[in-house]
Amino acid sequence: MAAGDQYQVDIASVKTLIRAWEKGSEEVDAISKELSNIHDQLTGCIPSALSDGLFGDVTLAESFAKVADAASVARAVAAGLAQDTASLDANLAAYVETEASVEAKLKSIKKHHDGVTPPHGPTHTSGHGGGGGSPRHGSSSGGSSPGGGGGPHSGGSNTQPPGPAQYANQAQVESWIDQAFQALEASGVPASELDKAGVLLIIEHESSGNPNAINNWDSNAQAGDPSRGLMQVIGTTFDEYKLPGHDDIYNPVDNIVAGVRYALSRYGSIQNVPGVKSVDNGGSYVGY
Amino acid sequence: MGFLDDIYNFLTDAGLGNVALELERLADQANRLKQELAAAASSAHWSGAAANAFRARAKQREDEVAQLVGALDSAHSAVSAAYSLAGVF
Repeated sequence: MAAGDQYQVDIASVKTLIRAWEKGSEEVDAISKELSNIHDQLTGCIPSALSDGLFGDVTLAESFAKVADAASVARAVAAGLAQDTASLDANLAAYVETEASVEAKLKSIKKHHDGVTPPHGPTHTSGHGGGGGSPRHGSSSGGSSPGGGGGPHSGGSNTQPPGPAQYANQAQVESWIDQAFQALEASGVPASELDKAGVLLIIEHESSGNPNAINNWDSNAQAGDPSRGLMQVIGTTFDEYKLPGHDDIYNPVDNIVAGVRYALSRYGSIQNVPGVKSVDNGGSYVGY
Repeated sequence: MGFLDDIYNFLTDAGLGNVALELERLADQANRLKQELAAAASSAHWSGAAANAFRARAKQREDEVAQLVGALDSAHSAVSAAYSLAGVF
């Protein structure tokens, strides 16, 4: 199976990232405390009235103020890094949980498969378009949140090198899409509007196939309603577009149901979702 | 003169001179940290919208640490200037 056929995250490298952020937070916090000590030492030694006018243009008071400014900046940076570390920990926990869950499911499927079907070759080797529809290609560069105020993100690469940790491969995601499409058709959505390749493309770019994905970084997260699940739907959008009996935002099928209904409502078709349209035209994926 | 002598000694001997050196050391430390954070963010193999949003956040943090380095440099310059002036006071 080619690397592009599966969704991967290198858990070890994310752990390394968390350690670096944690260390950074601690170091900057120590810098902040050191600066506060220096400031206290300076102001404690020299009365402000004297330092104000002692050296004319180069006042000690100005020096003290700059030390205080640096301490203030350091405090803010340390707090930000600590907040990032907590969010990264939450992301990592979600990845680990997903990996274990999907691994268990895949083992179960394999066990069942081995028991009822004679062994044969690989069942699929497709790319983005696997499972139906026209193949789509293109690099990825972002994502946003359905119904949210955040625009497309930029920066970073979605290059997915081979790594020890793999989860939610394409076959698993396609299975979830099939189940969601059955529910959507049962609710009256015409089958002709259900573009499996398009939904697969959205999922790959929005969550990398992780049903527990959560975006703790954008404006929606700051507003207390982070994008969640396979199609990275915010809670208010999920509640508006979910179907009865499909009300768990982290359930992959329920998330696809709400995400597809939102996409059809807002864009008229999956093909018209900006990221899908862009990739179909040879461009990069953009959030929806 | 005893009080002013104390101040003079603080400014020139064990006071501002040490502070200036310490601020320089902290600026170097923050600058190294900025590079370490950037390297860590770019070497994580992680994809999806959350990963992309984190990378944008990481760039923001990198800029903030750069701002800290600038603030430390500015404080170091101001203290050093006061220290130099105190030396000829």
